[in-house]
Amino acid sequence: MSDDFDEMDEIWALYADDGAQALDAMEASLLALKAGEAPDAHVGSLFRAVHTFKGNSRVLGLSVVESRAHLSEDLIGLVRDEGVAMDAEIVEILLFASDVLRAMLEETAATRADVDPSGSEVLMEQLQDKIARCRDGGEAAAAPDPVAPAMAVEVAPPPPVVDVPPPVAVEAPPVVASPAPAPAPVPDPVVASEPAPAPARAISRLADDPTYRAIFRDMAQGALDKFAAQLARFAAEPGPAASLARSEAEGLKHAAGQMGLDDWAEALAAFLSGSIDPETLSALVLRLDDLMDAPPQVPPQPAGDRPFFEAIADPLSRLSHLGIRIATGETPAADEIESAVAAVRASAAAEGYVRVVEALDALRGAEGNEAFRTGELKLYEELSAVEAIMPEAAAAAGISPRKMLRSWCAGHAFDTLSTLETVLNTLRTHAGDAEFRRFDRLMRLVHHACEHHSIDTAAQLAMSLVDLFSRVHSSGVAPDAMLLHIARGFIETIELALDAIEQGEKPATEVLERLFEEAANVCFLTDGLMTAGAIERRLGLPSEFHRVLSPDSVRSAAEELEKGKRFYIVRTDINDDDRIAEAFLEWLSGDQARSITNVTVFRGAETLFDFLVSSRLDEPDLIEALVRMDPSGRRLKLTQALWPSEAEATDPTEIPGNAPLAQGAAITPEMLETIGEISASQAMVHHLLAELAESDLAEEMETLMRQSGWDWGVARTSVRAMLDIHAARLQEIAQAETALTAQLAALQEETVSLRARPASTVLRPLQTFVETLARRSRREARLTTAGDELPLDLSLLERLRGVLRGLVAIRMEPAGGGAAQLHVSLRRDEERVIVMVQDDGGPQADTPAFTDLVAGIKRLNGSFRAVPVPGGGLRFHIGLPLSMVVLEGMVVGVDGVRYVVPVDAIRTILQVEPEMLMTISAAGGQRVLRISDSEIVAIHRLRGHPLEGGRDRPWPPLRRVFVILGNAGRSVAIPVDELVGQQLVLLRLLRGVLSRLNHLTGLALLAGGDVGMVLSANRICEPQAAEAV
Amino acid sequence: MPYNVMIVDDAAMMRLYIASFIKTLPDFKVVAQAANGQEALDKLAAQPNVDLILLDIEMPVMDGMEFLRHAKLKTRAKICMLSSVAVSGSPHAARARELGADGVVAKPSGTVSHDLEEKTGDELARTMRTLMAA
Repeated sequence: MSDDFDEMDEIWALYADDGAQALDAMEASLLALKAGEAPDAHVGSLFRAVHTFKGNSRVLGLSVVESRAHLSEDLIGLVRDEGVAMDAEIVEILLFASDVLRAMLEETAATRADVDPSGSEVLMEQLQDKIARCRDGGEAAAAPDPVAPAMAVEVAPPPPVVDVPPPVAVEAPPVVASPAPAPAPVPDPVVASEPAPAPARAISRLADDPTYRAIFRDMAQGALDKFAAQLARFAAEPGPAASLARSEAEGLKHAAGQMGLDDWAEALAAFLSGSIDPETLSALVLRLDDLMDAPPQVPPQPAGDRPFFEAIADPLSRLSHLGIRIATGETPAADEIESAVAAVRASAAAEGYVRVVEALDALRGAEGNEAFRTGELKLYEELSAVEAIMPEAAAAAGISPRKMLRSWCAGHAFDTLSTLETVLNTLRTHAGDAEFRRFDRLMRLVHHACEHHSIDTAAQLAMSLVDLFSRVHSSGVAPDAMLLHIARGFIETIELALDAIEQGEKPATEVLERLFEEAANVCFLTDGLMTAGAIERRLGLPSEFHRVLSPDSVRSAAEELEKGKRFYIVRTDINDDDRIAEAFLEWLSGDQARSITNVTVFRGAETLFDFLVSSRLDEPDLIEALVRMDPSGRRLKLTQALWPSEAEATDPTEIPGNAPLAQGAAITPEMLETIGEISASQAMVHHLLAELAESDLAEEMETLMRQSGWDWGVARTSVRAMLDIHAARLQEIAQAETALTAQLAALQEETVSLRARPASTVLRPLQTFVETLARRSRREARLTTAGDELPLDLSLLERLRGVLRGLVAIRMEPAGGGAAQLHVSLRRDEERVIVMVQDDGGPQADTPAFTDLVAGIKRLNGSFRAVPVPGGGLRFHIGLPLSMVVLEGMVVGVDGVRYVVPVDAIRTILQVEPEMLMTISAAGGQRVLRISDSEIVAIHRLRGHPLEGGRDRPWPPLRRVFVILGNAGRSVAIPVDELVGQQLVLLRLLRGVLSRLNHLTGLALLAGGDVGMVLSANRICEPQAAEAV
Repeated sequence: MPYNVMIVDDAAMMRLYIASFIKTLPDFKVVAQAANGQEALDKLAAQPNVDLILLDIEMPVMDGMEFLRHAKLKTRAKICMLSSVAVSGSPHAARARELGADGVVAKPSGTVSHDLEEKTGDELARTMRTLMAA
């Protein structure tokens, strides 16, 4: 804990220092502006100072301070980015802000707490008032005044939600004050399209970079020298000479290809395609000599020696305007595009920015509005990367590709999120390369949009998802339910956050924090491991080990904890001592110690490594082992012995109800205990069976008989005793096997419970979804729920989410009656989750969306029914089959096929006499079973094969055992050949053609490896299910 | 013709392990090694024919992230982060993707992962091949 306090002291001290410096810089800039200096020399530094101050305040959770700094930053931003003149009033307001912020800094540094907001209300009012007046337009792009003599920046219209300007159409070079472009019509969202195909590589060449060109020239000269040497050697050693010449030519050809020097590559390829002899080698040397002497095709140089961003400002602006013209349906002349592209390209090639060059080549080949827009977007992404390494240069040139990219992405965010949701749905069923690529692309656009709105956690989470899906893609599998859940939760949360921003509200980001935690832990959770955080806490690891434990390390640590090993941190200085390094690593591979993980520690110029090690050795023995490897004691040092705490009952980061996905997803201590018991039982069964296998009853019997002189009367007692022992052994095995079965069943149940989440996981976001939909259509709507605590499997929740969102959206539309009050209740029986949705909307039209929804539910093997509610509104009854359910079933046999009957649905099992069977002529000869004096039940016949047979199939010989099922007041008798026994089974849903089997719920793997068909008591007991026999 | 690989890692033993692993892959060849980002940038300028860079994150002088920001501008070589802190979905992995890392693979057992080949070899080889095929 003392370390924590020290660290916090240091952080607050830094905050005070940095804050004072930032405010000094702010004040200096403002005073310079007040003295009449040109704004463009100071606005950038003013903005950075306030931005830094704001960021520091946010880090420490000082939201009042942050909000005041944020508004100040907004005002400066209007000057910097939107052409508002830096007038005397702004300078005065900001000087006032600087004083207020300084007082806040002093107070917060002293109290380490946020300030009272009431003390800065006057400042807030002034800032808000000025910002509002500037944004109203009356003060935008004002004529130069004495304080702002040269602020001639083109005004960027703030992007409305839908009618956004194209991405690159808003910023002009700083010197040329051209009028703002006319708003372009809404373009087709680029986000839905694939990136333009990569250009031919020969167009963008490393050869255009003078540095690479010089390197290649040296390489080529070296090759020519070697060719000359091999020519001289040919007469004496033709084989080796040809071989070496080939090898050299191959290397040079590869390099020529990399450089984009097609003429070189072609000459070398021609040489390599034939036999190599002195003649062909001489021809090659002559050809390469020619190429060496040929003047390099130098690309057009940028005008003068201007810095990159300055050089591209004008052609980039031209490209932007061309984009607008294309969007409005014009077709600019090819040379207009070519001229602008070539100018930017020349500057990029001169700097060696190969990816910018590639983006420009793609743009050059773009045909049509959408392709051009995609190309522009790619170009701006690449230019953003350049800007990231020299932001000052870009700012000095008055352009910011990164800002424009983000602004465009923010303007299109809802379209992007909508397309992303579609792609995510596709990934569930068809995880192809194209879908993964689209996901990656769209998520990056969302990332930029989040950056635009400064929702940092969301921006980071977007890239985490890019990482997770990319790894899934390269592993060749489809994303699992957990990953899809996180991605979907992210999309929903961002939609809500953007919606809140649009409404002028502060977006809620708590959910994002949780999702980010889940994303960071997903590799542990999917492996069923404890999280890295749990190990960190249990071992009390120092901060250097925070977030570095891989799943493998976590697994190793968990194993070692189980074994009660000791844990140590050993600091090593082995980077330049191979002998000790090898000895140490070999020691870690032995049986004395195990490396859990290690981290780099930088100490001055030295690179050291801290190893987290588990060992059976106590501290003195471990030190002795280290000294044996490093007698000097300088390279291997024990720095800390760790004392693991007891296992946590729950992970404190996984708050019940707040983190539904992660909650309980790791292996619980109970599960570990059960696994241990199973292992012990299995060992016992193995031991007993081995013992039994070794015994030879016949031989023992013979021995006893021989000993008794073959007199049975004498031998009888001994033989009985021997058989009793044998029987006891068999009984012991049977008991052990029973225990094993029970333990396995418990494990099965626990495993299933790992995947269970409360229905609120879906219902709570659904309420927010309804409110958002209502707000978008400027009305009110409310959703109430029941059954929130019902535990359901993750995959079922995914299905349920889709169905409910679809239905609610349809019912809230005018065609769906414009429902404003909705109620969803959930319950479940043995086989299904039963959903009731009731609303106050009008009749439901057969819209395509509604038809699709119903068809989708049927495809899920579900049921759907709509009922008018007296007094208005509709009630929908939806049934979806449960998945991943453990149920207790009676296994029965019919015609050699195993069926599982849910035990809860069995009323009784009867052995019947023929007279109990009756035929009812009035019911078309239907056979029934009299099960008591007052009750007759219909007979439902199971067939040997679920896909064969019908009513006309001959009735088999009389079966005497009947299982009587009861459900909802109705009963049915099922004749069976045998009762196999009772068993806990894991229900697996039917897929494909099997899903059309009405009377089955699913399949289950039975003891002994058979597959059993699980009967649906609900459906079998429906009136039409009973069959005549 | 094998793809040319550059290894960038500050741990000498790790460079040795990675190089030794790559020797088992006939379609890849180590042509350069560097102990930090700056050294890697210098070597990259002198040796432009690198097809793939395996890049550690935490290094002295210039770390992997900074190298990534600079190198991505000027090379077509694919860059695969190979770091113990690049666990799936982690902030480091997210940052690497943001800066343009083409692939990210986590070392299994820390900065110096002597069990790299045993535990992550398949994943690393698959990622390297996927990147070169893209």
